[in-house]
Amino acid sequence: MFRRILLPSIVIVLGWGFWISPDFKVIAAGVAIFLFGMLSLENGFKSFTGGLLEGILQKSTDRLWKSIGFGVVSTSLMQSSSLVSVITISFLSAGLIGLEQGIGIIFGANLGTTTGAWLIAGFGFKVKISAYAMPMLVFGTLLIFQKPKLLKGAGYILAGLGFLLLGIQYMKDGFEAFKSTLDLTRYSLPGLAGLLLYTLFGVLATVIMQSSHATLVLTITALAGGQVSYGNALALAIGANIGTTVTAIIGSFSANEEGKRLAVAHLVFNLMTGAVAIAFIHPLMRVVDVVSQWLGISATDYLLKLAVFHSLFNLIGIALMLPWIGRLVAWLKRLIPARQPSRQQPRYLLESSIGFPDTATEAVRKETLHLWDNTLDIIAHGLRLPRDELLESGRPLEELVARHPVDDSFDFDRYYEIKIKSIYSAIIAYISRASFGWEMEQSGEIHWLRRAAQAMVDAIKAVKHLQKNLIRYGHSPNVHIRHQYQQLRIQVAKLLRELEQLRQAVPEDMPGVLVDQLKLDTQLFYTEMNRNIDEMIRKQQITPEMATSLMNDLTYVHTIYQRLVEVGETLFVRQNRALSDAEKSLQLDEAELKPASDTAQTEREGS
Amino acid sequence: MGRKKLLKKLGEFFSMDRRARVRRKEELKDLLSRLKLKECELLERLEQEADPQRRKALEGKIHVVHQQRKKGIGLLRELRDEDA
Repeated sequence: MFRRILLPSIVIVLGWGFWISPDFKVIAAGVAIFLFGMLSLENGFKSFTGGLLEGILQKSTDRLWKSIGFGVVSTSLMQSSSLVSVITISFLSAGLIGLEQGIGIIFGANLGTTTGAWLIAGFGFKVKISAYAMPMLVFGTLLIFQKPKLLKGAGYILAGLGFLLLGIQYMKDGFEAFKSTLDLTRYSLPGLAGLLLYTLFGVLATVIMQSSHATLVLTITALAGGQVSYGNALALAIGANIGTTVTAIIGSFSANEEGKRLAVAHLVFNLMTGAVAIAFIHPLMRVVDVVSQWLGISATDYLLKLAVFHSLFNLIGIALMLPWIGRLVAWLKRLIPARQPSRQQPRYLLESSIGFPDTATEAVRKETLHLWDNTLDIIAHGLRLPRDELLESGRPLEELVARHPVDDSFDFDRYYEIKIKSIYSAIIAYISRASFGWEMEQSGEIHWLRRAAQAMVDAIKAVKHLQKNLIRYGHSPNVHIRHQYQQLRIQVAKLLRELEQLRQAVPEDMPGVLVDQLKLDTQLFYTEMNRNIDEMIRKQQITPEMATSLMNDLTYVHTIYQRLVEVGETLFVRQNRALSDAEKSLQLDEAELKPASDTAQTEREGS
Repeated sequence: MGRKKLLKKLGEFFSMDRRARVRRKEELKDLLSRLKLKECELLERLEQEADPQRRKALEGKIHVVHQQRKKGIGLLRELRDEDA
């Protein structure tokens, strides 16, 4: 109900405001242009993702001080603490960083966002900033029309900055004109009541505009125009700091428990900082005076003093909270307990990461690896071989197969429903929602990951069909057919082992060569098994009925081989960021492998 | 640095395609030398191997490495032709 009437109410109030005051129209247009600039800036920074952001993130957040520094720098560059906190939540949810690192970034972002106040107060009011905005808009738009991704991104950033400056100019002009018609200072309240009321205004304005930056600019321009008193402006800045947490809280609704913990940490930090600032507002104002004097800021330059206040109280907040960060993490873990990780549910596909191509691709990659883990499980069960013994013991496969005869105790369909289908469906649904409009590079990766997930399901289904005769002929009195089915089991088990080795391979092991070797093995095995079947039929060692079953099952094993090798190639070679593009480009296809396999075959027949 | 070389360097710097090609060529050269080493190592192991099963497996590996090298040399040649 509230949501339904909110937008029409805002439109009516704005329309009425435009009707009675042309100056209000100029201020509102300024806010709108400013927010549009922020959107453009966000778009621009998104164009620079594609591995770059992730790489920087991993290197610059391995220590707490580095995380804080990263928060400061990234927020100063992007000029939006909300954007940085939402991105941090998505990184955290995708498992790219830990909670402590995330909290460090958020602390840093709070300090980084104060650079905006410095820029506007120190620079925006001393020069006509629209003069800088115009060329930025022209060059930015020119670059937006360029084809290369990076140029386009730079264009969006430049145009975004241009719009930010233009928006500030409009707000400034509006407040200057507003000053002559309406004196808002008449409504200012002294004492604690005024402090609390203007803090609340700051919170509300930030919640509505979804930008503490916009509130701060509005506050500074109003202060410059004499529309609010210095004390009330400080309260508005405190309110803006608290209100900005709303974006992160909204962003965390769709995040996992780690993301939610971070949003709560953000709220706790900003509330505590705000409470301290309100409680000690007078001593703080005196400290601001001392610092300003020390920095050479004139006692009446309230704009720069507001910037000093903004930086100072965020800095005090960090200093106060930093020693408690470990306890905060422990408290958050108690407050929002982690759900037991389950193989049945997708772990990484979260709504909060869907908007960031890099993070979303990483989420799909991790979920596909999760599916791979379950695939190994179900195939090992299908072969009736304990997974740990199969993959970790290194025991000879002949011995393992002999020790674990095939029985019909395993409910394949139920296992598939629980462990595979839900994750596979979630991957497909996530990709279909996220892939639209993405950059080609990410779409390409996603395409391969989707194919890998499909290939896993194909292989699982082939194992399911194979099971029937594994049970039937596994106990056959005919030693030849029993041996052949044992061979099929051994072959699939061997493949699982080799794929596990491939998963753990380092670049020096040349994973690309390992995969092509597996492809070649597939061809050789298929040819050899077919020859064996022909021979057994000729020698009447197996009945024609057994032969047709074996031929069908050999086709299933061939499918398992082809599909699983395809999965291995995608997950451990194509998606392996440690390998160069050149190495990936040398992968051989079936036609390129053929001369090798033919030669190998010829040589083997000759020996 | 001569004018021609300077112009070439500047051209490489400003052309993203060309920069990518240069990087790709370097990667390919490095990879080909590693593959060559691997092939030699496998051939040595094959000479010393007497077990027919293991020999067969080694032969398969050598073929794969050889085919990848062949493909890599072809790709490198294509890149050089594009530059010429």
